[in-house]
Amino acid sequence: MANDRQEMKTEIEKSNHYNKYFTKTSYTIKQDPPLFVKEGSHRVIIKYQDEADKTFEYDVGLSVIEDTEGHLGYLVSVEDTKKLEEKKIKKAELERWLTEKQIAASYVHELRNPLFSIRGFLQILKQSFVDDDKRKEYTDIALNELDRMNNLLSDYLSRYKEHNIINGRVNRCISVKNIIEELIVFFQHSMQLKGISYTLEFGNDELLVSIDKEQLTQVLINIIQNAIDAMSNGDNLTIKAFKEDNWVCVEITDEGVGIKQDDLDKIFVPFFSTKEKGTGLGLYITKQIMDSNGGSINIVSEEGKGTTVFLKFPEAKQNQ
Amino acid sequence: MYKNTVLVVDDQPLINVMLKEVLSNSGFNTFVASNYIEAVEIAKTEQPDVAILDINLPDIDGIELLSKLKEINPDIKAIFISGSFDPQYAQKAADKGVLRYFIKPFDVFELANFLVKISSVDSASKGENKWQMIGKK
Repeated sequence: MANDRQEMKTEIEKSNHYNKYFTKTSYTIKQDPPLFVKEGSHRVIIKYQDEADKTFEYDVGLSVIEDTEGHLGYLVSVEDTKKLEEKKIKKAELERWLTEKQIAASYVHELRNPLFSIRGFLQILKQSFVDDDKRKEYTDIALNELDRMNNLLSDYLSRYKEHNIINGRVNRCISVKNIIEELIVFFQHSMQLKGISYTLEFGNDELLVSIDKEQLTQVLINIIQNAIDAMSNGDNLTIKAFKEDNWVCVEITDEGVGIKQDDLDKIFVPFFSTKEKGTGLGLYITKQIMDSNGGSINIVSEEGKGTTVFLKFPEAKQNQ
Repeated sequence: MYKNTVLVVDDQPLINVMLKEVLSNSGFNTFVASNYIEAVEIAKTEQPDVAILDINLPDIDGIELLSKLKEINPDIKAIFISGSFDPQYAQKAADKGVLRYFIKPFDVFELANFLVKISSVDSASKGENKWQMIGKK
């Protein structure tokens, strides 16, 4: 214990903690401190002003510790009260946000019940019309509009997922390579149906990024789905992932219809879509996620030849 | 002849009406329940082959309800339907043997086709489709 104490003292000197924070000889103590600290845990708030009249306030915690031989030691913690206050505010924000997220999720959940019964009844109704009946076309339109409404609800909910990052709840270190390999399995069936082949090209590098797994998944799903939608029988999808300096790069190239030059400028604008059932929020949200994670997204496209989406993520260090 | 007996459990009456209409028209003997007590009652009297369960009922959750139904009929097949997708819950459901997890609003004919598929596999394995089996040889 005596040794421990010695080490603790050296540690404090090394870190220069006290010299940095307590340079004056007298301080205003806002709370009555115990006169003799012999046992238990104590807490005092110390406040002072420096030469420039800047106010500092520290929350000092002191606990008396004792080993079996009766050697006494002290455990001291010093925390900037302003930072404590900030932490409290952040916690309150997080709690409020979680409540909002829960309310939003249960609203969407409840809305999907009437949407589902409407959808089912429309499908039953549609069956009763012959092929060239206008009313069959109208029920199809209603069904499409209903699905669009549902997509909007999903996008609305995913905004809350995206918000995760602001509150610092991030999954450290996930492998882009693993996520792509997991995801491609989901798309295999729909690609097979459309007669689309795919190629994956990964280098030997560890492709680790620091981003919430759900967000990364959402980004990749949005882009791969767009690529598949743009392609037709015989086309190939290429996904390359590699390291470049301190970046992890992902290039997703399709041989699809491509994007018109005019549309290319508007592609990240919310509610802009060229798809019949598109909500126009997919790429907007994708860009938001990339930006909020310190990454970037760029799209190069040639009409009739295809599109390449370039994603860049800051590389994560393994020990993060 | 009915392909299979199906039990639909959802607390939304209109969803029950709609699913009964679709599934009955696809040839299934369909029963609906809007809560746990009704579901158990039907499970006992009608011995359904397949249960289509909403996972958020007011008095019970999908996995618990499935356990109760399996006490009555250990072979009952299950499909979950829900207004939201929770991957962890879906994993638990899959571990419990749930065959599919449909997110509302889904294509009702996809559900009906899926039921046709699993019920025909079922009758084939029971040897009821002898003619077909011989024909294949």
